[in-house]
Amino acid sequence: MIKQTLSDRILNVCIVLVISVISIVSLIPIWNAIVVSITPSYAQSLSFSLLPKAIDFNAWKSILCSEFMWKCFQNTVVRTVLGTALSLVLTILTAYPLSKKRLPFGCTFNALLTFTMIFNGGMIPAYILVKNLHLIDTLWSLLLPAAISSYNVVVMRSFFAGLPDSLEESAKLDGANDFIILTKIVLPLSLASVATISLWIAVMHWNSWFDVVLYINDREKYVLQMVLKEFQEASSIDTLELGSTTGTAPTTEAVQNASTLFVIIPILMVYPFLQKYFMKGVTVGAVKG
Amino acid sequence: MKLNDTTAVKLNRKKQLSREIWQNRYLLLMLLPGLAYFIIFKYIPMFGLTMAFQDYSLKEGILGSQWVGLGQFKSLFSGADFPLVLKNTIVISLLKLVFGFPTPVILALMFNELREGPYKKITQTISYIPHFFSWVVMGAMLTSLLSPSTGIINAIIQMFGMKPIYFIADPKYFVGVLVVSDIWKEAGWNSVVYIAALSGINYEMHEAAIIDGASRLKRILYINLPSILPTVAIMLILKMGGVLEAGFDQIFNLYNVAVYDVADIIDTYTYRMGIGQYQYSYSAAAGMFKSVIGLILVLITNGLVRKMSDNEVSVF
Amino acid sequence: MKKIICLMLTLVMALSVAGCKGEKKAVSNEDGIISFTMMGNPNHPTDKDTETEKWIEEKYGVSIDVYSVTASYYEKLATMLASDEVPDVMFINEPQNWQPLVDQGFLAQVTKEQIKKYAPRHFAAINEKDERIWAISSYKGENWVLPKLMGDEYGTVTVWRKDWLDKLGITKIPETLEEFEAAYLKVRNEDPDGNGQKDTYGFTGCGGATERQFDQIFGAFGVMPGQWIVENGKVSNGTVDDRAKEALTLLHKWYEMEIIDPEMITDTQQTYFPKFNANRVAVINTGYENMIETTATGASNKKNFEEAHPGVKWEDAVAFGSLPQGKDGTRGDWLWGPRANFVVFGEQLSENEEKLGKILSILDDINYNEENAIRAVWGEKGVTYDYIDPEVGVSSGLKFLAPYDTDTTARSSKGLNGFFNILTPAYGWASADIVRQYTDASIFETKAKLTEDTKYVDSLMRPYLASAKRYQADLDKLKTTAYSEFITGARDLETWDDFVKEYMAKGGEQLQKEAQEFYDTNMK
Repeated sequence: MIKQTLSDRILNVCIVLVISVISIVSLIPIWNAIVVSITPSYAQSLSFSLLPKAIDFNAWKSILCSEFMWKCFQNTVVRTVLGTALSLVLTILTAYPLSKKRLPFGCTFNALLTFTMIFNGGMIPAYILVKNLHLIDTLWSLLLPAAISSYNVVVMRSFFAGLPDSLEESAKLDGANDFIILTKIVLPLSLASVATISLWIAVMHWNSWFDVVLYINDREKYVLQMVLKEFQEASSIDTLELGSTTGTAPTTEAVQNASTLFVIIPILMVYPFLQKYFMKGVTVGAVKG
Repeated sequence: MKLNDTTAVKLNRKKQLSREIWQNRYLLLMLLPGLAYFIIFKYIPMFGLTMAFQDYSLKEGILGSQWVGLGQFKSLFSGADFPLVLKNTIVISLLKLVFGFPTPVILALMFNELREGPYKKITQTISYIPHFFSWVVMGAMLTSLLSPSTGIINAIIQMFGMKPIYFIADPKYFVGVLVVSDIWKEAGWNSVVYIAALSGINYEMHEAAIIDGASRLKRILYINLPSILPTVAIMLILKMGGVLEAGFDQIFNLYNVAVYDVADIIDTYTYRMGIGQYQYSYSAAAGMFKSVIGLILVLITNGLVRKMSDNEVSVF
Repeated sequence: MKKIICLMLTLVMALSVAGCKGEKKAVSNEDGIISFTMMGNPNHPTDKDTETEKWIEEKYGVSIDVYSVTASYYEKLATMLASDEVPDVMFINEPQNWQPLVDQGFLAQVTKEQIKKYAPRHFAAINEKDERIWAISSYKGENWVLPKLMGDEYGTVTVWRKDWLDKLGITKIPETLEEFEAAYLKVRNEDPDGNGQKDTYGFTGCGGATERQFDQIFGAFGVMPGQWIVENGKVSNGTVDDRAKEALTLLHKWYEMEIIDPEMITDTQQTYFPKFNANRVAVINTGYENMIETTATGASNKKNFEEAHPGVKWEDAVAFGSLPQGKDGTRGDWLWGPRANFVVFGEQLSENEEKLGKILSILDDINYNEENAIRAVWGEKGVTYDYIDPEVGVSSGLKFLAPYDTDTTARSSKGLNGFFNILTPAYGWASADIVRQYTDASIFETKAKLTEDTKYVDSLMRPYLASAKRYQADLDKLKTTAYSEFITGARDLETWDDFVKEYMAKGGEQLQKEAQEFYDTNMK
């Protein structure tokens, strides 16, 4: 190892300091949510508190004991896993050809792609389409319309375009076709970008709720974000049609925060598993090997 | 080989094209599912865009509704508040671009300097957590954090002997709150793509630079930054497409009567105008206006980037 | 190249033409059983095929298909309508939400005669409440919708921190504006919570709300901004009334005296109680029933307060008073008035009176029959609900049993709450007569006494005027902004006349004209 100079060390310390501060600031939302979720409503304070003034797990109990929540959890996981697999394959298959300058009509295809990124027809034509395809109330209605995001394709494409052409040429001489080049050579070198795109897709699926409003009528098929939305809407009703027709207490802050955490913690767990693909040298090592 | 080339020149363009298609048949085959997807799920519903030129009736549909030409745009632009909301949209969105766009790049460069290990892994994960909180939750939290009486920020301000500031209800500070809280929520998340780009850097370049005695900062600036510039450029072009999206969810959950003058944007404005009244043509016109501006800016940025990178980097 | 693009465009065209219209839904009654689709109240979700749904289906010999939409209700409704999927029964909030549907031909007309014939009890209840409701449920000369009713509506009361008043030596609960001011000043300056800091305020308000922006203060001056006023046959707008200026003058004075919590800009009705509980304000305005221990909300408020203030008993800490009185004893706050939301029917029912009649009679029978209403809203006694106090019985009221009391999803899995009783009045769970039997009579008496003479109801019942679509949103923004600026002093009250001029010029004038016409034709 080469010895670090003084200025390098100062820089290092500065970076560690800044990152630490950023991490602390980034922890505030989740910390606050945790504290509120275990604080009984009489001890809720008007301001941010570092520690709960009293502890009670009723909010968590009501969420974790709710069959409906687990049903929705299951739906969300199924949707996210299948959706990510489908979207990832389609995104790669679309992005790779588009990254090749030799693709006939490449320019037209790319322009068409960019156009869809900026313009969209809106929810009414989308609904009519999904309905005419007879996808209402099916899992497909959540997977197919969201299958490819032009944004992801553009990013994936630019990653592919950054790989040296020489790799492909030598494989071509060995008689490999484009499918083989993609799966055997290009993908193993693009693990970091594939990981990024999978993360984006997975999070998009995990967080979607508006397509559930439109395409799903059966509450048995709801996803978690939809339940969160329901809680939020119910607690913001204060005009004429009061939520508490029957005098039931409104959803408490603790329940709202506990359910938010219930929804986001599983998806937060995904990133650490992907991080190994972001390690320095993974890609380079692959070239050498 | 040589013979083939010369015959190729002689072939007319049609034949050349079919030959190109045949040569790249696998590429085209790969593209097929994506192409079908875009036609079915993106281009067919695209006919909804015509709503912007109609007085759309849910009953009559797009084929039967009355055409009004640019009528919807006229009523959008002639709204008494429209100049103000357009100005606010541009100001907020530009400030977010200027401050919000570089932050994740810098953050990624910093993360890249950390040694591999638990500290790097944990801090990276933590930095992207706020992205997962909705603006409803973040909005409520910000309001309490920034409260002049009970908020933590104002407690710190008062420690320095200054007067508390009602950030959320003060037009002087509100846009700042929007920009900073947007960075707070999204910077970590947005840095992921740059971290991925940085992981592809050839370490041999660094080794060579170290032997030449280049300092760490120099290596960041002259090796790391240039090598992720193509990604940065692509992200910038993509960002330009939504330049008039100043952040409806964020503003809707944070703004209040005291800051309407600086915080009312096109989206909140059209929302107020059309709420629950099925005015889809009006919203479509507003959407199309935003898209056209976005498209123009994408074209400009794309052209600039293409020129500066000698045709190497561009979205199309 | 050209060919391919051409081909693609043709394909797109062909598919989109096919895609523009959905299939028409069959309206036939299979096997003689009437089946209908119902899109109920978004605040009361229900699952499909719940016990309650089956109970109704069996009892009335029908088959119901439910659409439970809990978020983005009108977006979902619009997409369904656009694909010709019109529910037979729909919940709708306000006239501005259903009038466009009439214009576009999505609704079946329901005449007063039909309502009288098939839903006689509801018809009678409307007429008893206020016949002018029919003016709001009519559009272009015909009755289009089934109006829902308001239950027993009372104004809010003033809830005082009695322990603070005692400490400050105020023995009489303040009644007039002057007495309120004196008490507020003491609260502000004499540290009633004894923490040594000047951090207590008199009260707070929803500084940016369209309706309840310090409504109780305006009420003391005899005017309610945002409501139409009819005086001697002339319609005027409360927002630009001179009496509103007087109220704003006082509010500005109070703001300067630091009586009003400066954070009123971001406060909402949801933050009232937390602030009361956190020793920040001496007074909140809320419903009487929210602060007494015999109701669910009241009990939870009491518990929260007592846990947060050890040693202080709820009974000693809370005193109820009426709203502040202005000159001549004027007082009051914003009330919604006799009319509530609406139930509308899909256009396919216009040629199927049998079905429409059947649906009307079911809705009527659920809401006006005690047993049915309880079954639809509360479920089974001992399983999903019980009396609040079993010893007292009926008059103590009803409550859900665990888990149905806190878990909304448990309720929706049984189809309970207000989805099927779509005629439920606001502030109630069945017709007002039934609800009254299930409420402690003494609560009613106290409430009635505390809110005596406080009736600020829109004289025109909140009509949706022809130009409202064009002007209302801008006007509301202008009003809330200007009012809050007048209060904080960001805008000088000297400029009141300019505000009025601007308001009238931006559409206020036109709306007033239309309101006058509406009054002359419908309500004289």
